[in-house]
Amino acid sequence: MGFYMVTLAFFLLITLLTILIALFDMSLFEFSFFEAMINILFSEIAIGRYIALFGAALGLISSVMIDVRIHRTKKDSNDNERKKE
Amino acid sequence: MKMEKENISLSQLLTLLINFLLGSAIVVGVGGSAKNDAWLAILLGGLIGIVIITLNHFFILRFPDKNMFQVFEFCIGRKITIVFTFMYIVYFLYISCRVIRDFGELMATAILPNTPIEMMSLTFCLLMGYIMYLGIEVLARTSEIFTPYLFGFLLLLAIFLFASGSVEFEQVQPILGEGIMPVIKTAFTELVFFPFGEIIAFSVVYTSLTNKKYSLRVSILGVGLATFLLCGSSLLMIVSLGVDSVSRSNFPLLSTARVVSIGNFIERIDAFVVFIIMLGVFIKGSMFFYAGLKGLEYIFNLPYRYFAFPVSMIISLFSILVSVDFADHIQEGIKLVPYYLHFPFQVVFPFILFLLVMWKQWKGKSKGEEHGSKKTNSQIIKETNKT
Amino acid sequence: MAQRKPIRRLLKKPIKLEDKLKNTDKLSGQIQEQEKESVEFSFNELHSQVANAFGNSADLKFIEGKRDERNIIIVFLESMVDATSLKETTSKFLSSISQKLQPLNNVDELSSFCKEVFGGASYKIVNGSDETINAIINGSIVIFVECIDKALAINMMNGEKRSVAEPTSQTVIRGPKDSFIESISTNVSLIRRRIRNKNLHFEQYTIGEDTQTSVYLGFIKGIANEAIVQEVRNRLKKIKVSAIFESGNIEELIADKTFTLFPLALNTERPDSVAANLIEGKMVILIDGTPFALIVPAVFVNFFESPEDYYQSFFLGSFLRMIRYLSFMIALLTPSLYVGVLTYHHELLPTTLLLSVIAQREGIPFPAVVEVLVMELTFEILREAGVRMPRVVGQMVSIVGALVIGQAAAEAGIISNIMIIIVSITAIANFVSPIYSFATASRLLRFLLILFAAILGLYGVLIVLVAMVAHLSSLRSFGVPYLAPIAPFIIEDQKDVFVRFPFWTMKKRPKYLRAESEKKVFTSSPPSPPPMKGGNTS
Repeated sequence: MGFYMVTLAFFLLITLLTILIALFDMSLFEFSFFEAMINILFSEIAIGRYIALFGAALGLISSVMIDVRIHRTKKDSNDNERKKE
Repeated sequence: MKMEKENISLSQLLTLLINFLLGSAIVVGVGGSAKNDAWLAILLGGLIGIVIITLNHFFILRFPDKNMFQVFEFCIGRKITIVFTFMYIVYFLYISCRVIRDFGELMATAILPNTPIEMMSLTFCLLMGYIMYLGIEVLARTSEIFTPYLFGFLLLLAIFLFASGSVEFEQVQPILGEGIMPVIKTAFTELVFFPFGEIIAFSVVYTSLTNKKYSLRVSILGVGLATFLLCGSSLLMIVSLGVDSVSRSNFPLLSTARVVSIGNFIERIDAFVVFIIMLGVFIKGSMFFYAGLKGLEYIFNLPYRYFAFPVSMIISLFSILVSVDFADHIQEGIKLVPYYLHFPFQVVFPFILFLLVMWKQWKGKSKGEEHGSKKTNSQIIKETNKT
Repeated sequence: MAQRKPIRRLLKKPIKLEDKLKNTDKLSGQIQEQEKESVEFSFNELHSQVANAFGNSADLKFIEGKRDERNIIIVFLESMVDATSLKETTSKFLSSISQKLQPLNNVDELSSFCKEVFGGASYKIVNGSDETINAIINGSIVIFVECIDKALAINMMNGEKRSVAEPTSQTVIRGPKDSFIESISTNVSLIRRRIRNKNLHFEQYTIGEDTQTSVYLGFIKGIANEAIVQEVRNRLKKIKVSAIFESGNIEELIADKTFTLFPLALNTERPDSVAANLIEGKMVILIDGTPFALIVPAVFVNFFESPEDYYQSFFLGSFLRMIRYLSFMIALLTPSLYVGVLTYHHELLPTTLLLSVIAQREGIPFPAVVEVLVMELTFEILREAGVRMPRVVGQMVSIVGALVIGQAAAEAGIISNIMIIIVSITAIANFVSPIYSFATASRLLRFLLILFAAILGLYGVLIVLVAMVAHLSSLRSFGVPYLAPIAPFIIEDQKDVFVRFPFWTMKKRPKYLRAESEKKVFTSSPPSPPPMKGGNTS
């Protein structure tokens, strides 16, 4: 397995969910795909929206941190194995 | 990577099932299109639910050590399974977002009107992320601890409603006033998907059951009890509010609780109802979340705990983005989700999977017979695992 | 990956070299240590050698004398040995006019002499400087005889200890009134006197590189689950620290999880409570130098049990237990509920109550959160002052606290009267916990709850509560789930959780402890009066 899997999963899921919601918006409001994306991404910025974005940022940071930690433990265990050799 | 083995007892499965089925169904109310026969529709839906969980159960227990995604792999190979798994993950997480949104709307409109809805969903998702980080065992135990209170509060609500004299049994009549068709239609087009069809999320839980012998009975009991509770609460709403108010209210159970007034002292028992709702939503959201995490675990071969916190934040974000406002949210829930999401993911894909498994096993069996030896299904499964 | 490996290996090379260097260091260190161990005291320079080893400590004493023609030196730490028995022993060794002396020419004669004279006392032949010094530290006197290369160590630890007194932190009205003291041997005897059973085993561990504290692990073989006992042993063996002074040190080092507010081992100073827990199938860890023993594994419900529950009628026992659960909830929740309701959910209060509360709060300059936080903090300060203050001025604190801060603040209009009620009920409820260390959980979580109530109202309180329950159910104490008989739910164990059933119904030991033998009570019928003869019931 490669590195930074959690961050990869994070971005993949965000993209896929955005597409799903855009598709729903398209069929419900008869938007074009582009309009639907704008509707999702640039809807009114209120204080609440910042909280949501703050949460997402928190998720991103944590996913990167988790990845780094996984990477480090893997490296350590690899080193240990090598030492045993 | 070595995955930790987790254990869930039968009583925990029972409470999980009950809370899961009550979940958002009790927030927004189900079976509304059957008018004052909603409770009949729920009973019928419960029967279908029992059939669904029995089918699910038989299918899952053919592979006692595998969850849904691994069964997929067994049938069609890892590469295609990854695509399928991604679709399922998105489905599960999307439903989880919707469940959280339901709850967030309830809180933001009825309980804490001055707090932004984002705050609710953020804190709620932080909680879910923490619990999923601790594992499904912890979720199961938490649900086991709180469920007695759920029963107690529902009972209390009923008693208070009767005691405050706001119950009029005439509201239920006429029973089947418009014939049986609306009831059947509601049961088969709405209730079969929501909430009963969503049991599909449990297909990742059965592998961690400790006692598989009685799991079918317990599952049926769970669905039965949940149906009973849903039916009871639906009846309570109808007899105390009246059909019109129920269908007009966004959160009928909460409106029902607000009717209670005993001797100017016990007036607002919203807190009880919010507790019931929060517990259900919490279990339901977490179960879908867990199902999604299990999918991620399958794809990335990493313990699902690693994904818990980041994905919980995704749910928090998308529970806001999922729809513009509550009307839009409900519209999507009625018009789009059942047909484009529930139907394929609850019916079509599992059915295809079922056919594939039968085909595969039939093939394996005929091969075994060619060799002149009779093998049980499980043996064949084991062999194919090795290759 | 396969191609990358050689490059990475090259990169790793310098580290490998360093490792090798470290290894050689270690090896040389081992050799040095071995050399050290092999040092023998030579009799002639014994005085200076031992004195050097102890750095000329003031309490290191030497007695030099003669026995027949041989020189004898006795070394000991004055502070550690008992003066009277020392006198007795030395008289047996050194030449005097009245006695005819047995010759001591070699080790065999020395040991046979010891067998005769110290038949009962604990003595040991020691060899080499390390063993000798160890014996001296542990309160032995060490006797060197000229021409014999081994020495004799006789344990003569003095019994400077306080007598057994009433427990100070866990009092009961009805029940035994003795408590553990700082001496481990007394503590063991207090337990043994209650359980006269050969299967009660005590295993000794010496923990602390510098303090060499002796720690006993006690359990009843055949009742305590072997796997759990083994787990406890492993964890005790793993401890590598310089000093152990109290059971709290050990508790933190062997607990399953450190980042939790809830204690994962039960601490008690009551021997009867220890004995009862041993019979249930738990283990006890005794530490020399502290009156507090650790009982493991401990689960959540254990912290609501007082030994008195079992000494009184089971009705009262059950009632008191429920009172304790209730007061735990009160201590945890009252302030945050007050904040939540007053800030966000006025409608939940009945109108009349709401009116009276609002009337009281009229003119108070702070929002409810600030009021609560200020009062709670004030109370915590008062409490800490009350504990740390010298006893003599302790009275002052209570007067100042109760009168000046409480009443005067309310009269001055800084806080409302209802606030004082809330703070005091919280405080009193917090003191109900039978195990003091458990109250820390409700004491600290309270502040988190208040903050969440201030931000999100009752919803915030509920969030924290659910998180707390989840946290609790994720905890384990030596492999036993912390919420054991509640979640996972074990129906057989419910007889001793929220209520206490009569003794004759509790036939089995708690299932969550996975005891080796289940039965506890062997007669199962309730007590009944003798059959009446010719009574008026026909």
